[in-house]
Formats: sequence, structure tokens, C-alpha cells
Amino acid sequence: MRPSMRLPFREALYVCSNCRSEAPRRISPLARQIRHYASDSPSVLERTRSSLWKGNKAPGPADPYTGESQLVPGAEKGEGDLAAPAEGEELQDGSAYVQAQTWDGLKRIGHTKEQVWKFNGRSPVDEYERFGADVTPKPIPAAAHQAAVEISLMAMLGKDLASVSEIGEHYEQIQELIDGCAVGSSETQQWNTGLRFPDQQTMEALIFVFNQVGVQTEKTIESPETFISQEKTSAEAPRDLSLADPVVKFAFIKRFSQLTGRRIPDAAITSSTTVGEIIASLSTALKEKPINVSKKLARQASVGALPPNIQFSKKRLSKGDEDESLGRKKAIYTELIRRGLIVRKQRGNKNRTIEKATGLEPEY
Amino acid sequence: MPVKGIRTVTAARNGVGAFILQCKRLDFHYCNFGGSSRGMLAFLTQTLPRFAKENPQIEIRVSPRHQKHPMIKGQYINGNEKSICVRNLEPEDILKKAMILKDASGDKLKRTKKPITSLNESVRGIWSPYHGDLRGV
Repeated sequence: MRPSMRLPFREALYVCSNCRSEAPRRISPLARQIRHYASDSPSVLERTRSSLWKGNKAPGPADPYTGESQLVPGAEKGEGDLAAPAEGEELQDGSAYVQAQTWDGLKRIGHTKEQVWKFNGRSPVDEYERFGADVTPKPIPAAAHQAAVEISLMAMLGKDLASVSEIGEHYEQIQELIDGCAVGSSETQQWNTGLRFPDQQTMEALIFVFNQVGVQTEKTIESPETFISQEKTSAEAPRDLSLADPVVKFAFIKRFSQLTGRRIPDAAITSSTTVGEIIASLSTALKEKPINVSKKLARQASVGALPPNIQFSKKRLSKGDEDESLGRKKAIYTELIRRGLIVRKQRGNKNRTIEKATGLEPEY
Repeated sequence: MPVKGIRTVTAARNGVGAFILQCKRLDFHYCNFGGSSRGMLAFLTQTLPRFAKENPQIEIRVSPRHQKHPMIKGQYINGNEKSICVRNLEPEDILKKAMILKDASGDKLKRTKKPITSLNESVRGIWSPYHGDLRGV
């Protein structure tokens, strides 16, 4: 009988005795290689090592990366925390030894020191609040104007621009002062010289407030009269304000996103070079919210716009509602309670006085 | 006592003397989030109040059914129920479907085989084997 053609002789699950005796003895490729190099040539490990290190300067059998192995018996005995105590050491300390009942206070393995908080559980500081949650969303033009004014002020004071976002929402009086300022469009490249205040008092107040933001400073402005505008200031940010400087761009977009409460697409951030382009990227309509029919109908009913033959409900009508509308719900539940098939709840929600059925068969 | 013939009176039929609408209730079901309910949502908030005002004898119930297509169900005084699925329909088309259910009698739909249908009795009367002439074969 010929040996199996489908599988190699060595891998066949069953080979008849005839084939077994006729087949030549097969030697695995690895064994053949070992036998081939077994004479005076270097060992397989040596050759593999030299091929890995590409040359004759293989570092030898010692591990070149981590030094001496920690598993070597007798290495650094007693130094490491995990080192096993010597035999009899436990017995010597036996007098002070107290057997632990719980794992509190014992050394732990399996996590780093930074992960200890996971074991301590959740605390109030772990609560997450999304970026911009402390700011009431503003319309896009107002937000752009405020962000431009604030960043110009920070640039005038020579402070970190992005720290404007730490402020959140201003007090009403300060907000009015900011709304009264304007950023000139002529100095499109220089944010530190484009701001115009309506009067001297406003400028002093705002400079005092913004000196407190981030790292506190006492910087004053030289030649303040150049920043005071006699004309009526515009309440909108000029659209050609440049965002070429990446620091300004980052600070503006961060503050603008915080004030509008909207996420600005990455593509818009990358491609925009002026304030106007950022504003244009947000002009797309937001996804339409679904109509809440029950709310709308409730509003119409409250003003008497609904005829009396319309009934509406917030939730899906169940069979129980159908029974109730037909006036048989009370009779059904009374009978079920009498037969002991459902149990009346003692406490809890008023609307749910009935618990689930106990699963008993009704008595007929 | 002379035999007196029964006086023919008008047969009692709906619409003769009084008309009683057979549809007693219309249930409108919708889903707040499903795309197929878009037309239904517009219908319920804009068209339904007027429809209800024009048909005060019909009870109208509006209730959500989440993750389901919108549907109108009609309940009739003969106990039957008819329902029409109005998925992806515009408000005008939904109004037409509501009118179909409103005008329906509640009976099952029957196929009309004869060219003429009438509720009147035949002039010739019903044939009887016990009456008439005897005929030899």
C-alpha cells in the first residue's frame, strides 16, 4: 500500500503497518541541522546569536539589556521587598507576628502607586464636568467679539493667552465693559494693539480684572490714550482678524468654543486663517431636534387650541390602560387580589400599588 | 274581522332619518425618533387639531410606540378594528388614510360579484317549492 498522499507521512493520523515499515525514517529539519553542525562548528545558539547581532561581536550568553537576572539564586538577598526571607527568619520574629485578618495594611502587588485611587473608590473630585459647562452658550457673533476682546487684552498685558478660558463667565458689570470694547480691523496682524476702549475708566477696570487672570501681574499700559476710541465701537469682531499665529489661534478657538458651547470641527480649525472663516464654519445648521408631540400637544391644550375629543399620553398605552378606560381594571385587580395571585404593595410609589403576579395558577 | 295588510314603512337604514358614524375612535401611534414617523409628527402637531374639530363625534387618542412605524387604528361600533400603517407618508397622505378609516363602516371588505346590489326585496318574492303550479315531468 502506498503511503497517504494528502498528508506528509509524519503528520498522518493513521498509517497502516505496511506503510510504516516501508517508509524511510524521517528526520525533522531541526534535528538534521543540529546533527549537521554537531562537529566542531559553533552551537545553534551561538550561530543564532551572531546572526541576530550581525557580526562576530555577539555579547555572549549574558542578557545585555536588564543585567543580571533577578531569578538567579542568592542575588540581592534581603535588599528587595519581594526577596524571600531566609529560613528561620520568620520564626525569630514570631513574637511580634500577628496574623492578618483582612488585607488592609498589607503590601499589595499588581498595581502602581498611582492607581491606588482606584481602590479607594469614587470621590467628589473624580466627578467629570464637560468643557464649557459653566458658561451659558452665547450667539456666535457675541461669542466671537468677546473672545477677540479678551485675547487682545491678554496680548496687551503680555500674559498667556489660553488662560482666558479659566475665567468661565464674567460678572454682569464686567461683561458690559467687554461688550463696550472693540477690536480694530486695521491692525489685523497685531492682537496686542488692535483693542479699543470706549473710555479711560473701562480700560483701567478691564486691565485690573485681566491682571488677575492666570499668573497675577501688575502691568500697566504705556501711552493708554492710543487705545481709547472716540468713535462708537462696534459690537462685532472684525472678520479679517488674523489667526496665523498658532498660539493666538489656539487661545481664540478654545475660548470661542467655550463661549458658544459648540465643538468646532478639526477641518475648520486647520483650514481657517481668520476669525471670519471660523465663524463661517459654524454657520451650518445644527441637527434638527425631534418633535416631542406630547409636549407640543400639551402646550396647545394649555392655550385651549385643542378640541376636547383629543386625548394624548406621554407613554405607550398598555392593556392595563385599556382595561381602565373600559372600567374593568378595578374588577380584575380586586379579583386577582382575592385569589392571592398578586400582592398589594405596602410602601412605595402611589401609582404602582400592585406588585408583579406571584405566578400561581388561578383557581377556577 | 277584515284582514289588514301591513303598511309599508321605510326600512331602518343608517342615513335615513339619522346618520350614525360607524367609527367611534381613532388611535394615532407614532415614534418620536423614527424617520418613518416624520410625516406623522407633522400631522399630529399641525393637521390633527383641525381634523378633530371637524369630527367631534370621534374620540381621538394619540400615544407613542417607540421603535415602531406610525399607525392609525380605527375602532367601530360593531366591535371591529381596522388599522393602516402610515410609515414615510406625508401629512396630506396621512389625512387621506384617516378619512378612509373615518368613513369606513367597520364591516369586513367583501368582493362584489354581481353588477347590482340592493337591500330592497325582490318584486317576485322568494321562490318556494310549496307554492305555484304543479308541473308534470
